[in-house]
Amino acid sequence: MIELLAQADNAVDGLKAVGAGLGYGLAAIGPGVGIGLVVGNAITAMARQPEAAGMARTTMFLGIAFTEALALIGFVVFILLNFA
Amino acid sequence: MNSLSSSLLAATEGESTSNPIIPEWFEVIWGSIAFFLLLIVMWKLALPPIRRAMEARTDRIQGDLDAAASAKAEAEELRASYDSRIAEANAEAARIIEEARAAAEAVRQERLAAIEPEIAERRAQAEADIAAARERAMAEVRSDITSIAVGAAEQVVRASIDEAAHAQLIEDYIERVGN
Amino acid sequence: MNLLALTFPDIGHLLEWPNILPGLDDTVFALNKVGIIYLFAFVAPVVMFVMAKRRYAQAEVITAPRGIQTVAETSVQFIRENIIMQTIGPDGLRYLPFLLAMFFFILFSNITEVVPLIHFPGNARMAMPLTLAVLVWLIYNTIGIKNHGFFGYLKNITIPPGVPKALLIIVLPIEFISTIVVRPFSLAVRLFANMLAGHLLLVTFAVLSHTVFWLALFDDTPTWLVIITPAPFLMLIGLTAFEILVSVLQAFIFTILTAVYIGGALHPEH
Repeated sequence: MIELLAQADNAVDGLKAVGAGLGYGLAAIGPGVGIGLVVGNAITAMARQPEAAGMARTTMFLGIAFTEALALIGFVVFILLNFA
Repeated sequence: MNSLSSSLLAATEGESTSNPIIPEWFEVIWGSIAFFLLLIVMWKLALPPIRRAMEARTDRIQGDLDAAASAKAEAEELRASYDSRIAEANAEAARIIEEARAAAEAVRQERLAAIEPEIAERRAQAEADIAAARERAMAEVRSDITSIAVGAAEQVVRASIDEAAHAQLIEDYIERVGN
Repeated sequence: MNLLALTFPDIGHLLEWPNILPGLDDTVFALNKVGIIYLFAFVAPVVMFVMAKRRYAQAEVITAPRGIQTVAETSVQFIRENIIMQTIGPDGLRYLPFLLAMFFFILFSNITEVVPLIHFPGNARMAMPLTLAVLVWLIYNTIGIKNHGFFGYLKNITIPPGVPKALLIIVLPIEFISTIVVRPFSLAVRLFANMLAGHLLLVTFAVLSHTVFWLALFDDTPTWLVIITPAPFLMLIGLTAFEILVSVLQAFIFTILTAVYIGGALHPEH
């Protein structure tokens, strides 16, 4: 009985690790694409209007920050599942 | 000292005791103390002199720029006045040259006008001279031919015709030839 | 975790530091390495600004800035022109001291991540990111309520301009939750998770390079392992440079987001 419980515990740990890895990986897909779009369009804007490059850069960082938050939440979930 | 350095260089051993997402109260306390001290120092002590100095520098640079702008405007004005004076002098010079040219032209016209009748008179005289000389030469030639013809005829028909008939004949002959 | 005799330390071993003040264990005044890093983040900018300030006392005429003075003035200029002017406008200049203190506090408690012998970012603990986020939340909500009244502010944050009436039933709760709940949470998590992830990355490659160097000393180690020995170390150097960038960038992003939130509370879009 105790052995079985220990095994179940290990299985839960294993599932947690798998879930954490998968969760982080999935959470990184969208922001990866999103950051690519943000930076690509910001570079287009800077190339078209170099005099507005400063503003485009600031806005780009803001956009990156908002997009990146999703991936970071995935990372936090990873930390919570694996270490908490 | 040894334990101090070890507690700064190595963290606690073993399994984690709490969730990494949940903040520790003592860390919050020390962090807040540090942050609010920094905020007060920035607000009350550090920032005002820096802002003042930056503003003073901005003002000074702005003043320098203004002075430079006014100096430039002054120089522009000076240059404009020089330019107008040069243009004036050029116009004056052009006017003087034009006047001189007009005066010279007038003198030339005057001289030409003065010399014209003399030339005409000389030409008329020369033409008259030529006509007179031609007239004279014609008369001479005519009398010479007459006497030569009389002499030749006399030599040929001596005594058969009298002097008056000879003269009549020769006269007719010359008349025919002359026409 | 054991792979190729590679032992990765437990997360508690990486993040939790013992108290150094005697007799204060497990109290709220226990001071550990993280607390010392926070105090360093207070002392370092103060020293910088005091040194810059001394120059103004020395210099009789206001000359071009030199040395540490340049850093101080450039940062003030940067916060003023690139953060406040672009997000709030001229009436945001009164928040300059707050944003400047915030920027330097976060910057100096991040940069310890790559400082030799410290190697730990203060913001890899949730303490200050969360505290600062809550502080920012309090500030922008206070500003909004003070400038537009409680219900006016509530209207500003929940009803975006140009949304059809029928959509409001969806938009209203989303906007409310995103402004009141998600903003401080994402602000704190962004800083915390970036620094923690960077720290874990550096630890991973440090442990990896330590292990492969150690393995390379043995005769029975396969040759390919000896050949790739420098690779994790080079990666570690590259990541260190990257983490310097991330430290500065996260301080910048936290500050500019604070400015954006304050600006949004001051001048809502109509």
